[in-house]
Amino acid sequence: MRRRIWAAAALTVTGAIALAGCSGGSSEPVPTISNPVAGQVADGILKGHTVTYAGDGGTTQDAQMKAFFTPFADKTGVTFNQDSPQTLAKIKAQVESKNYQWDFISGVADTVARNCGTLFEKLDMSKIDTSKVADGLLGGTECGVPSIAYAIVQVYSTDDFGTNGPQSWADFFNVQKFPGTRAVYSGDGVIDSATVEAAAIAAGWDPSTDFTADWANKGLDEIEKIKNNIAFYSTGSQAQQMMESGEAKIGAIWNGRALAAEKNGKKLTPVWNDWISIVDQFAIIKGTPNAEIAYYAINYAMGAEQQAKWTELSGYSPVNKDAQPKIDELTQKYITTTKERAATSVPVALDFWKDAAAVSTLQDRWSSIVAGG
Amino acid sequence: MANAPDTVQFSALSTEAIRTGGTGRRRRSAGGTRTLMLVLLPAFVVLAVFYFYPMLTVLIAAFNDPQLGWQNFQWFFGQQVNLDVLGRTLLISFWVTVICVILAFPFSYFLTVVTPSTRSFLMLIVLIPFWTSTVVRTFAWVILLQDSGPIGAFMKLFGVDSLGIIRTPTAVLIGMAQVLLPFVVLPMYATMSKIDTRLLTAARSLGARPSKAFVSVYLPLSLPGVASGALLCFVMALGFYITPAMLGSSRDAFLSTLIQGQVQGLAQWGHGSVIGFVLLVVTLVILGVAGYVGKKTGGSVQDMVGGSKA
Repeated sequence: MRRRIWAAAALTVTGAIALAGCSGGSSEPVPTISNPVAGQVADGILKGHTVTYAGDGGTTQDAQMKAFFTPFADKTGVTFNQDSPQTLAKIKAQVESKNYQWDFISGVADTVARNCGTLFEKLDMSKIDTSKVADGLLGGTECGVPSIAYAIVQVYSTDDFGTNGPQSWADFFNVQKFPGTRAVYSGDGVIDSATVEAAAIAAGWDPSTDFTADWANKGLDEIEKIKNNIAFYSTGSQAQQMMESGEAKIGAIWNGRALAAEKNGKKLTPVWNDWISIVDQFAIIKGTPNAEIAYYAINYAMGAEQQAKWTELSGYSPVNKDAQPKIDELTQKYITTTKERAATSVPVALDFWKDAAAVSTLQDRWSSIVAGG
Repeated sequence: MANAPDTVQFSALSTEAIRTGGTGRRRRSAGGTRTLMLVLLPAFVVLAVFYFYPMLTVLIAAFNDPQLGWQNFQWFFGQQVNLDVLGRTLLISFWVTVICVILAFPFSYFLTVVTPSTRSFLMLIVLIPFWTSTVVRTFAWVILLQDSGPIGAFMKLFGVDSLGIIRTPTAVLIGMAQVLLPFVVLPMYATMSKIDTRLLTAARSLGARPSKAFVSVYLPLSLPGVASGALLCFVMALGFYITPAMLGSSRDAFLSTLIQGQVQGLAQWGHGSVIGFVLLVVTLVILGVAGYVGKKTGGSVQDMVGGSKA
C-alpha cells in the first residue's frame, strides 16, 4: 500500500516537472520590434508565445481587455493571460525570486517612477510609438508610458452652491467661505501625491515652479487645518457614494467617479482650474523573459482606434490624440485629454514623488492626519 | 471564514474536557496516540508549509528588512499614529466583544429552551449570515446605514434630518458585532446545551430564588462558553480590515489598514511586518493573561485557550 502511494507521488512529481519544462512555450524567438506604429502589429507574429498582464481589476481591466488585449491576442496569436490586482508587494516578490507570474502591469506613475530600474525595466522607447500621445502625458519616468489618464478634480454639488461654488483649491480649503464636508482621497493608507499637490496650490505653490518637500508639508498643513471637515474616502465607489448621497458637498475626486455620480442623477459642477492630471503607466517588470512581447502589447494599446474604443467602454480619456471616440455629452464633459483641459492642468510632480526617502517622512505625517486620533 | 468549523469543534472539545474533568486523555492507549499523530500529520504538514513558514518569514522581516536591526521597532514606537491605531484596534475590539457577549448570551440560552424545530430555525438565522461573505455583509451595512439609506429614510419620518452613523465608530461597532456574533453564539450554545437544567431545579427546591439560582448555578457553568466566545471574538476582531475600512472613516482604521498601506502601497515590508509582529504579541499576551486568570479562577477558562487541566 505504502509503496503504491510513493509510486503515485513520484509519478505526479515527474509529470509536474515535465509540464513545467513544456510551459517554456515556443522555441521560436520573439521577432525584435523595429519602427513601431502605435496600434499596429503583424498578423500571427507571436503565435506560440505567452504574456501575462496585471491591472487593477474590475470594470477598468475588463475595458482594457476588450479594447486592447483581446484584439491583440486575436491578431498576433499570442496567449494573453490576465491577473488582478497588481500590487507592489507582489511585484517585489516576483523580481526578488525571479519567479515571474506577470510580465507587465498598469500602475500609478509615482510608484512606477519610485521603483524604476529596480522593479521595472527602463523602457526602450524605440519599441513603442509615442508620437501620438496626448499633450502633457509623457515624461516623468523612463519606466512607463501612459495607460490611463485621469484627474483629481474639484467638484461641488450644483444644488447646494448653484453658480457661486468654489473656484480654486484655495476655496476648497476655505471652510468659512464654503461650509460643508469635503470628500478627500485617503490614499488607502498611502500618501496621495495628487491631493497633496492640490493642497499645496491652496497654500500658495505656483505649479510652474518645482514641487518641494517644503510645499508638500505646507499642503499637509492645509489638509490638517480642515481635517474635521473632511470625509476621507478609500475607494472610488465611496467617493461617488459620498457625493451622490450629499454627505459631501465638495469633493477632490476622480473625474470618472464624478461622471458616474452625474449619470446617477446627481448634479455636479467640476472646477477645471488647476486640476491635477494623473497618469497610470504601463510598465514592464524588471527581468521578465517576456519583455519583448509586453512591448508589442503596449504599443498596440496606444493606437488611436484602440484608445477610442477604450474611452467608449470606460469613460476614461484617450491617451492618443487622434482617437475619436463616440461618446455622449456628459462623458465629453469629463474628458481630460483635450487641448483646452491640458491648458489648466497640473501634473503629478514625479521628479519629487519618485524620491522614496522624501516620501517616507511625508507618509508618516499623512498617516497621522488620515488615520490619527 | 475558513476557521468556522474549528470554532464549533474547538468549543465542543473544551466543553468535553470540562465535563469529563480532563480524564479523556488518560483513557487513551499509547497505540491510539500514535494513530492519532499519524492522522494529524497531513494537517500539520499543510500548516507548517503554508502557514507557519510564511508567518515566520513575515516575523523575521520585522527585524531584517531592509537591514538587520531595530529600525522597524523604532519606527513603530516613534510614530504616535501607530500607537493611536493600536489603542483604537484594542478598544473597538473590546467593545465589539462586550456587545457580542451581551447579545449572544440570552440568545444562546433561548436556543437551549425552545423546541427543536424553533431551535433549527433560530440556528439558521445565526448560520446564514455566518455563511455569507463578510464583504457582502459589510456592503449591506453601508447601504443600510448611509444617510440616504432605508434607516435614514425611516428616521426622517420622525424629524431626524441626517442619520449620521456611517463613517463613525458606531457604524464599525454595528457592522463588526453582526459579523462576529455567530462566533460567540456557537461556543456559548455548545456549552449551555450541556448544562444540566435539573441543577437549577435543585437550587430552587433548596430555596434559592430564580435569580439566585441563575447567578450561582447557571452563570458559572456557562462561563467557559462565554469565555471561549469572547476570546474568539476579540482575537478575530483585532485582525479586521474590510469592515472598519468601509463603515468607518479613515480615523476608525485598524492596524490592518496601516499594514496594507505600508506593504501594498509602499513595499515597506519591514514596517508592515513590525505592525503584524506587535499585533501578534498583543494577541498572545491577551491569551496568556486569559489563560492565567482561568487557572486562578478554577481552570475552566484555561481550556478555552488550548491548555488542559490534565
